[in-house]
Amino acid sequence: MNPKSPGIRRLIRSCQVFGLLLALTPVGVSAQQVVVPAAAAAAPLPGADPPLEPIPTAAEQAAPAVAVRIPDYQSPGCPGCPKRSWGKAFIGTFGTNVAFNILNLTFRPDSRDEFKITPETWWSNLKYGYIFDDNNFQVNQFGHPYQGGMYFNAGRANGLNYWESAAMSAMGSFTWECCGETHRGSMNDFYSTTMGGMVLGEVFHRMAGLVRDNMATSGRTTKELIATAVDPVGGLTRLFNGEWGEVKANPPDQRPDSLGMSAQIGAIWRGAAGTLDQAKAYPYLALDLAYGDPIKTPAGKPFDAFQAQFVLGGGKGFSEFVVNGRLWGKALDDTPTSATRLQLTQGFLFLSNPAYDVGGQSVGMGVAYSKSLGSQTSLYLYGSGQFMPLAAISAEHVEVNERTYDYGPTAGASGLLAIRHQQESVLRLFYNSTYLKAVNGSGGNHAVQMFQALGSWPLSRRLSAGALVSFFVRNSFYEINPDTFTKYPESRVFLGVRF
Amino acid sequence: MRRIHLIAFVLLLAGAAPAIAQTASEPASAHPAGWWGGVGGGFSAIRFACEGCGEEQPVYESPAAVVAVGRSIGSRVAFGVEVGAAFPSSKNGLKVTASSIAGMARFYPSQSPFYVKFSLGLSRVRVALPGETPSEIRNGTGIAFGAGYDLRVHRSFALTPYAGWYMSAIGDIASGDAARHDVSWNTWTFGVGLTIF
Repeated sequence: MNPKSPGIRRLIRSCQVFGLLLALTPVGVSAQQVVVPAAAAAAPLPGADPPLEPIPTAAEQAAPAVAVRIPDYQSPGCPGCPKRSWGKAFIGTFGTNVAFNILNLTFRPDSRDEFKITPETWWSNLKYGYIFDDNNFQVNQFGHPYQGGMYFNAGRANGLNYWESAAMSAMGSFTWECCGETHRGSMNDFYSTTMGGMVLGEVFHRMAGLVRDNMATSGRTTKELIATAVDPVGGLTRLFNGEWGEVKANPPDQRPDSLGMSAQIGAIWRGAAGTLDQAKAYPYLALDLAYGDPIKTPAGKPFDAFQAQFVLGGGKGFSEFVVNGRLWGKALDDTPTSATRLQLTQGFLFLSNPAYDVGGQSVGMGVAYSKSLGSQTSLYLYGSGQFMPLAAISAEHVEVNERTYDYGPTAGASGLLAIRHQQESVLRLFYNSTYLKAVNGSGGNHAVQMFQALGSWPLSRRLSAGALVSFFVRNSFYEINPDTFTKYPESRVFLGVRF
Repeated sequence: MRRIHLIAFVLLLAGAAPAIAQTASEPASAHPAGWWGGVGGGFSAIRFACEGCGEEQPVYESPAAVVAVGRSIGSRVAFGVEVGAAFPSSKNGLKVTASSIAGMARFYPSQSPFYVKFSLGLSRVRVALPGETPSEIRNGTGIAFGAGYDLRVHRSFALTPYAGWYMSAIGDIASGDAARHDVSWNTWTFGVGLTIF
């Protein structure tokens, strides 16, 4: 797909809307202030693919493209990239912490003592070490990763690559925990800010890149403002570097070779006690983004192919954010009608609804298989295993201030089968099984399973209608308290729009 | 804790001196290329925390060892697997042995051999609570970060002073009356390793 084609341009305009919606997500002046209204929805766990992935043609499958290494900093290979500067990346990272501290001191008078930092509070936090904190799910599992994304993008905006920017994310997180607040540092925050920040930061960095246009001479400020709403640190860095008005080439890989975006609007019924009998209907809006193609897009840089799903409503204001991006990939097999890929992935999971909360940052290894079943129909299979060093899940017997969930490492496996017709998943079956050993919270162990079936049919070139049913099952085993078995069924009906 | 400060200071000097000396004449790549491995030994200080235990927990000082193997990706990033252990240490009747296995990434921010490290993985701790035998073994999760300096002494070898901070959690240790809930710990490690390129 040609990045300059009208279709891609239309998608990019749509991304501006998507970016604005993301920017309006209720993220307050700090991770501590993220407040999300109550309630929920269920979504695919990491490994699921979005419904709008383009079908690779036989010719494309037969001749897989080779990734070309393009630098992330200004150089002959990328004259439009930002100048490389570790110093400015450090300044951006520490500046973010200073800004968060000042904003909290200014706008949170009730919590001012938490942010009156001194060298004594720094030394105390370093001396006693980090512990687990008791913040609510939204703060710990979305607010902190979002903050980590800002540190990460202080690196990306200054010409650092993905892995180098990860160091910014870790450093910003560590320094915030030790020295940005007075209370004792939190190891779960350090982890989720670093790992989640890498994922969210890269996603926002790439989404902002869809909006930015270094060659634009009209409407430039509007584009930069929208991009800044999506990627605040990146936008401010460009402003300070004079890049908002500078006309120069765009980075060659600023836009992916394929881009799919869709929205679903509909209703969710989520039941309790294993039945939908008493379930109420909640409206919801889901936004799906397929950036690159895990089969067709050559594996060059981390996240040159990723899928993201963002859900508003469904019983809560903001109920889902699921991202799965490719870190590394290898072609295992290519024939004129099929392709097989091995890929290492990094994911971000945030599911928060009235029935349950699940969140974490994963690393996974999977095999993707695509086979053409006709001129407009294809089969897609994906199997993977995932590991989350520290995931969060709602559990009984955890009531520590705002916290109602366990923390622990997980191991899991997922399987996905999708039939696609006219670039739309007309059938999708997804299963995930995950085991979590709590290391902080209830002391229990949790076996979690999710099954999801989606059916959708194109009504026109852009419209589709569909339904989804899913089951979320959690078996929890406690040493002292009785074991519990919970099952949450869910159904959705929706009207889909493809941009 | 004075001992920690002294060792940290000495290691900092050990790392900084050659860094300063090499600034002007550093060869283009002083980083691992391809496969690499290393062993190291030093000193660790462990401070436990648990629900309701308060901040003033004792510090367990112990010798520590680490073995790592990995492969570099490009000139600035190296990935690997790291196995670490802090040997038995006791205080107030509580005996502790801690070990870990983790996936690790090293970042070399400049041409110099200085690196920062971040790792994620699993941990295991063997704890003998006061008056309780046998000891309890618990598995958990751990996160670490640190820094080091590959001071080349040969084309294929480097002496690597390093420092790290390891955070881990293992959950509850329920053993008779001496149960502890939501146990986690912080380990500060300083040492010198031999890195093989």
